[in-house]
Amino acid sequence: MELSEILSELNLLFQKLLSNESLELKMDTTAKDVDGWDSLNHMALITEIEKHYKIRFTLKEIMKLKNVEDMCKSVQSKM
Amino acid sequence: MVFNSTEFLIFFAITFLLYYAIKPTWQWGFLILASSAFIMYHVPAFLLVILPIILFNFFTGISIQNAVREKSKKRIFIFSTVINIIILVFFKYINFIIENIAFVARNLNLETELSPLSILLPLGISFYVFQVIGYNLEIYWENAKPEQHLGHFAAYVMFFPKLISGPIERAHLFLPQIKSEKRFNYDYIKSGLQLILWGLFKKLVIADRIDPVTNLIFNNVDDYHGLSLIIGIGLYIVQLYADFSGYTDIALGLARTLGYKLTDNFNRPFQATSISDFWRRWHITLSSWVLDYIYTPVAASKRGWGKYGTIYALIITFTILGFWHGASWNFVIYGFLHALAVSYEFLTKKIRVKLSNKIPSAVYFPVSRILTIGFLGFTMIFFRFHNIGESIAALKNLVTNISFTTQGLRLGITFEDVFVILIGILIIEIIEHQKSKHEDIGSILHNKPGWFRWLVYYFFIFSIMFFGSFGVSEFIYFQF
Repeated sequence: MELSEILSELNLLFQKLLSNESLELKMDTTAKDVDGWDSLNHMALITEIEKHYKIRFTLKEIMKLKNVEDMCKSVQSKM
Repeated sequence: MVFNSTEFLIFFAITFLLYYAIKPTWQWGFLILASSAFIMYHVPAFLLVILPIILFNFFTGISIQNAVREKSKKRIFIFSTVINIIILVFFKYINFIIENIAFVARNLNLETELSPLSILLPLGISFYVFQVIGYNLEIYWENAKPEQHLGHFAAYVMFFPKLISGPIERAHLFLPQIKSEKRFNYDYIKSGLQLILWGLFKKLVIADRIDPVTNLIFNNVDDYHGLSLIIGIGLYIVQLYADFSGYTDIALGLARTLGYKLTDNFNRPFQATSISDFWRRWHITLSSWVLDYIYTPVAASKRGWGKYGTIYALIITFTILGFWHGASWNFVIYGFLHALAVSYEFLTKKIRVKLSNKIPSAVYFPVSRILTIGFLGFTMIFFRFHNIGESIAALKNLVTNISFTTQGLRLGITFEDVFVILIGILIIEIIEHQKSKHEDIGSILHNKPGWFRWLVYYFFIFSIMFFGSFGVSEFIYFQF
């Protein structure tokens, strides 16, 4: 799966979970750039991604996710 | 040797002059020497605690990196963290544990010869042990590489401006600064001195002037009720902020004069509209530490629990954050209450967002701020008193024998005190508001004419000279 495809799927997941239909994720988007993407619902986002792709991140992998691109690459590496 | 003492002034003047007189390549070594002297001035034996911790963590950091197998990396990391925690528990919590075991034994009618140990809390141990735990974690998570120069690592852990009460500086922010030679830089030194002046103003004019009033109230809690207690708690919040943020500004200023930039701990905490928001603005280096190194791993391990996992992680994190402040059940309760508040805010977030859209912001945000400060004040009763009995007595007194007469208040405060404290709070609010819009405090005056800058400097210097309280010297956070 291409990174751009993962990005558009993640965008839909984020829009649903953060109740923000106008949200547009980019590769360099970080939690600071998105309203409502805080440390408390970060884990809910991770869980949704895991459910969607039927994958499981390790704690080390979660701690290395610094932006959306890291998320996409991490998802891609597990598919 | 507190920052606002003559001894420290002499120590720092000598350190500063020698620091810029020696070869820049040796500055890191000189910082270790100065920091060792600073530690030994308090209790020489404290050096025997910090030096082995530095050596141990320097080698565990490298060992985590060098280990080939993932299991070995994990084992070394767990080993280093357990040892660091054991050291912290031994020095800080051993007597608390002994007292509680003895209490339980007495209640079970068991004979016990347990008695508290006579040990001193090594200077800054709560701060530097957290620093080295975070350092090893970042290496284990492969977010950072271990420092290869023992001297540079030692200077990072020991650096005297941040040794006693932080900030809990991240290694990746500090270590690169050691690698560069520090030349005498007028702008850097000027901005450092500006921070020191601002910190001294907050400490000496505000915090230390409030100190006798809050001591009077909190040491005689049976005599104070209702409004006078509420005023006392309100003053304590201001005192704690002025004291700790004053300390932090001085620490940041001292570091700046030596060419180092440390992380600020505060961002206008009384503007917080929720307790979650408050912790993003108060003691930031501690709250971000517990967020990254306690909350996130616990929440990640329990993410299958959904919202319950988040709440579980919040309760663990905030209870540890409270307990970090000291070996007392009061701090555990303080942390637990904050966990409850943040959990409540997490669960009601959607409702509160809807509410904020319906209520005019001119009403919603001021009310939110008042509620946040009100809750903070309530938890401060557990923070300020030393045991649960005193805290409960204070809580009862809040709602009994209420008197609204000025005589009934008996705060032991003069008109001059009231005037200086109120003007001081106003000045803090104006300056911190300006500071939040600029890179740092010096930038506020950057484009102002020279006469205006010096007018401001002289205002603060004379305010400290005429209105500063020089009787109290300890900073509140030194005890933690």
